[in-house]
Amino acid sequence: MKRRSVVFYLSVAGVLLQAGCTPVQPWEKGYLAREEMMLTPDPLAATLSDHVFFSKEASTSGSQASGSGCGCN
Amino acid sequence: MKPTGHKALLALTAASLGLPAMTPKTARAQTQPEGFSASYRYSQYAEGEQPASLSSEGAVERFNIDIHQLRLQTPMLGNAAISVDLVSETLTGASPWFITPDVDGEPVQTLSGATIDEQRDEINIAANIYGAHARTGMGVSYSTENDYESLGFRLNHSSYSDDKNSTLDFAIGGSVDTITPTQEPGIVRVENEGKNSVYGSVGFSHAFTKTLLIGVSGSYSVFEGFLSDPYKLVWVEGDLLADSRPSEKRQAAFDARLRNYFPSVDTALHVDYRHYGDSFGVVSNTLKLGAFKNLGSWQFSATARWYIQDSANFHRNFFEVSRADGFYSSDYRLSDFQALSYSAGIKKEFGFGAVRLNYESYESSGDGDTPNPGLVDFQLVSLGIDFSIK
Repeated sequence: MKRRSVVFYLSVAGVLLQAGCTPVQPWEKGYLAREEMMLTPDPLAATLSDHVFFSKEASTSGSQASGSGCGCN
Repeated sequence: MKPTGHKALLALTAASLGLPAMTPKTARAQTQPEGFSASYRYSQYAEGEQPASLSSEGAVERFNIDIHQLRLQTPMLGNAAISVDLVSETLTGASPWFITPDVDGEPVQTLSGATIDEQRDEINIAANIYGAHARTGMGVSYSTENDYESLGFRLNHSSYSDDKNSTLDFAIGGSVDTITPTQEPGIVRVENEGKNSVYGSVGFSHAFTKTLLIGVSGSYSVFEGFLSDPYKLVWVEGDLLADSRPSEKRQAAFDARLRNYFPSVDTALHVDYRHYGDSFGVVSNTLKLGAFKNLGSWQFSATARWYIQDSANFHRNFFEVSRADGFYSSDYRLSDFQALSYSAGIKKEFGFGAVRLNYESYESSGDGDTPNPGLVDFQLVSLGIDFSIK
């Protein structure tokens, strides 16, 4: 089972690396340029989510907690 | 539906650089903004009622929060940009105070006696300078509420490859916080305490194909000072003691994010994963899936988030035996639990920008034999509008 998992992950990595070896050209970036393809598509919504989870869960990053209030409630 | 030319290239760079750990408080576009933009969000956050079966006071209403967010951003000085974020929150409701065992030894939650009314205001200012292959920035933030002040700072640098397909990000930051708890007759609380934090993070993202973007990042943080909750008490061998936690916490997190676009159905798929661990003993895993479907100028989105954490070493609902190290907490946020949340959103684009509506529902449940009775469910509704002038 372990060996199959290793083979699976190596296969996935291989596919990604192979894909990554052919650079995406500027004229091919239309889909990547869309807002919903950003790692943080809606910054204000992400800020609010970070603050809510910071107040309700134990695991927040130092950057999320930095300067964002007590979260004591 | 396809963005083209110069705008597409600019937006792609922004996409490939938007690593979450680098852009914690306000994710900023990584290319210089083309013009002035303003965004506003109004959100209502409502926690579920504390159930009568788990409360010493019957069913009790918990927190409701009204949140206003405003973000202004403009280019300046040729190759720079500045952004200002303002947040104002009005909170009202009751909060978990302490847990006692009932006659059967089951935990019963007592909430803060009086309804709490609180106001929090925050300002966050960031400036960035954009070069041909890099972006360097700094930011400061200040948050104030009745009993808490926090001053934060950060420095960030991003560099990207010649073809703009890869990005390497670094950030450091920290905060200096002051806690002056509201005092009540008959309750002993600390009067003035401080807390400091520093963090560092590094991230990498790469556009593997014309529809696939992956970003990974790691961060490390150190907190020191008063890390306890000044308002919470703990039942220890029949006595109610103040919540007491170690004065230092070290934590690390790893994030991975995948974005893939499916042109045949005009839909973007999001997969986000996070692993976290800290010196309190908390370990958590978070998986979030999302889909964004475009229909002309409309966009419909749906996300599902699953979160699970192990408790802190010094957390129990109550302590029948004292601990040698003197650390105690019955804070539900440090307990074993998992949470599921779902959200749905609609965005409509107009000539001036966009209008957005989002709804999120969050439900938590405890793991183990005796879950913490303070665990919370909430709903969050947000209405937003974005303007841009190019």
